[in-house]
Amino acid sequence: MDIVLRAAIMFSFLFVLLRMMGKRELGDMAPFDMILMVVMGDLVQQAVTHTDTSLTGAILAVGTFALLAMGISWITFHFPAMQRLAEGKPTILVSNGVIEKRSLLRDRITEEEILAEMRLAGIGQLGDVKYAILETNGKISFISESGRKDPGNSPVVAP
Amino acid sequence: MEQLCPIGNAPTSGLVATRIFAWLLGLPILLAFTGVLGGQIHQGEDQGAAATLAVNGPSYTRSGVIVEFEIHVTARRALSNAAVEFSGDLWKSVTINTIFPSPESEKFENGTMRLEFGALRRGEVAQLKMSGQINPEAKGANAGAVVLRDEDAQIAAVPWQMWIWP
Repeated sequence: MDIVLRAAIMFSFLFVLLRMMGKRELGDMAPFDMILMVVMGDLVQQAVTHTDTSLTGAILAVGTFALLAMGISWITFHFPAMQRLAEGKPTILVSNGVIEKRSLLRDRITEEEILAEMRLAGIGQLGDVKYAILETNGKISFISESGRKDPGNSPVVAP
Repeated sequence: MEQLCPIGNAPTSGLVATRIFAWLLGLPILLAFTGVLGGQIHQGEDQGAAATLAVNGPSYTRSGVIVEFEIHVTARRALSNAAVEFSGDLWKSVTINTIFPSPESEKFENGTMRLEFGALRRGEVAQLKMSGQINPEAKGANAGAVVLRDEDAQIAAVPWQMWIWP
């Protein structure tokens, strides 16, 4: 029982922490962010299992995490109003070629990052962007003036 | 493309599998809340004519976990040399880290660990705390008894089983 409670508490803490860290941290991990996640995972493991080296303990801890994750998916599916709370909402970063600086400030994204993502999506000029949207998974999608939506995973276009 | 689920005609077997999976995940967690997978303290007590022996400790635990036992002896009459004995099997694959207070003497013979604490006055309460760690390779039942003796005469006994989940 103790291990289930500890796992549930750590899951809740991590859930809030990752929501607070912002979408961009998840979508585009810099090397330091990657190391931070690995270290956090190690610290969480110690807090949840303590000295427990048993298979039973691991099953209970992983099972609790998985069940709570499924529970959140179930809640957001059946109660769409909760989706915004659990996953956040997409943020418009560029509107009709104009950068929304307040959005950039809120999600700690620099103009250079947007321009780099634009180039990766094969868009050469800011004026070609009708909307740039920071999705809840941390990726930036672009909608061009012609209405085509690019998920942001296009190969780099040669200059 | 023919390997993909057709739109609007997705099989219900996937939904059923998801529900079964959720129940399979939830079952051990429900079991954990009953205490049979460890993490709870149980109590055993024997009220003898000369003294009461109470044992607090885990009946279910897991390998690697630090466990703690508390023994309470309440003397109903004066005891000349109170001794607490543990079946050796109770500590199979368990590393004992602490025994507090330290006994006046301790010995292990005939598969039994004996800790002697000297005289107890009538009404006096003696407490013993033991903590240890379940070794990683331990599994199954460690069964035995905690016995209170005055010299060699048995005063009270509490049978104890500690089930260790691997």
